[in-house]
Amino acid sequence: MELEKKIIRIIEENIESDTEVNLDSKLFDDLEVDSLGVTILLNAFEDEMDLEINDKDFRDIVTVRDIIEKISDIRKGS
Amino acid sequence: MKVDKSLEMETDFNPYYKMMNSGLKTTVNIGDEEYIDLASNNYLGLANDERIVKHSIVALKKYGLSMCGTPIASGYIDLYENVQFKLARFVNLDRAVLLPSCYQANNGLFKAITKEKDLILIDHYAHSSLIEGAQATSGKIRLFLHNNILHLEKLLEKREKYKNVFIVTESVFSTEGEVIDINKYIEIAKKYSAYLVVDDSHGIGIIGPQGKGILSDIKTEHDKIIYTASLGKGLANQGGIIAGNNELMEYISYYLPQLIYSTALVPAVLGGIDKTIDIITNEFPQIKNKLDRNSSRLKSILKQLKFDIVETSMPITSIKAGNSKNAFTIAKNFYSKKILTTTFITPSVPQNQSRIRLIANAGLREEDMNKLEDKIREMVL
Ligand SMILES: Cc1ncc(COP(=O)(O)O)c(C=O)c1O
Repeated sequence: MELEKKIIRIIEENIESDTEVNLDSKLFDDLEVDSLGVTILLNAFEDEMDLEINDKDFRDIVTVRDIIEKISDIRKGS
Repeated sequence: MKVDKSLEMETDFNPYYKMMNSGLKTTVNIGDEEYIDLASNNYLGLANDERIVKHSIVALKKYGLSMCGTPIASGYIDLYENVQFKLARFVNLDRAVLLPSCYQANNGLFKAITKEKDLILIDHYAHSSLIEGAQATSGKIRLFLHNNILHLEKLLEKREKYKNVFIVTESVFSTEGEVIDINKYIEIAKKYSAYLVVDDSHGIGIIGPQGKGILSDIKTEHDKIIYTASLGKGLANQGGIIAGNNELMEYISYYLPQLIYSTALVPAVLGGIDKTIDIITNEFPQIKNKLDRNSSRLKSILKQLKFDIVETSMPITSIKAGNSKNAFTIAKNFYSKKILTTTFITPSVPQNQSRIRLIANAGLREEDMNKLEDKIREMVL
């Protein structure tokens, strides 16, 4: 839960659009994030969650839920 | 490698590479037809000013077609140096370096002046020449949310690991006509001892009380300002400049590959820029008046007809066009009424935020504006 909330907050603070973010929000269609926008987001996760992210792992993300899953995996070290 | 032609198939229209067979006068010719030009960046309507053309021919006759050399080798003529000085004075900085284009200037700048331990903070919507230029370096790049000072500051707070920090943005974002608060950026740059790189391509010749661009009325000095601008828009010529303090510009004049390995701007162009600066210096208030009048009239016509346009005080009128297909359709409607516009679709702008940009330049006379109004009204009937 905490992780979800934190990721949603980071997304809200690091996208151009004011749209409300929820687990099912689609990054490209609903939140209007473009490819450089994805870079902004990944950088923000790295900075604020103390993670090392490989951009390639995030290539196929569609929704906020997908991001949460990826980040959980990274944290579990898988 | 294949161009995606699906939008053209769907709309039976392609807004790109429209071939004209005339220069930019109040109208341009495509085939046998005359079109009103709301597409070019000829803001001040100077692209066919007879005095400038004449001056350009004088330079052409005096020096010939080309010096056939790069500025550092055999391409550096007195006219080149004079134009550099004149431009530096015009934009209110110590010294300027002149390149064949601003794309080249922006593209090479960062690699020439940054090192591995440097941090480049660049606006998300900055021109591709700036983003690609930054990406070509070994420094660390971070994008800040568009014109979002809070986000920028948040990134600046993490700067300890880095040596030099560069904040990179544009003065005027040309698809929306959005102008940055330059004093705020300078304040932030000073606070964090960062360089501020500002691309004034859509500001030079157009903004500031004398048309001298974004730095005309700055409130505080900052020695770490690096200014770039295209001379192919308001200044209606060709070329790009980088301007800043003497030491840095001298460095660039020896170490910027895009400058020292590229043939110098040709004399005819230098002659043109030279005269254009004089004309803007002497006539800016009158020219700006016409530009503003035409631009406000265009905006009010479109508003009356319920077009959804972006609010801006700049002489840029952008229609919010939604998805790419819709943008092609709107551009096609204008085109069918013999009006040329510029179509921006993704990736130049975010998806579903396509824009049709119209610039009613200062060269359009009242009768041209009347004609334009009639055509737009017919279009929506
Ligand atoms: C903001 C900006 N920077 C740079 C350029 C490139 O300038 P130039 O056409 O001189 O290469 C352009 C436009 O083309 C621009 O809009």
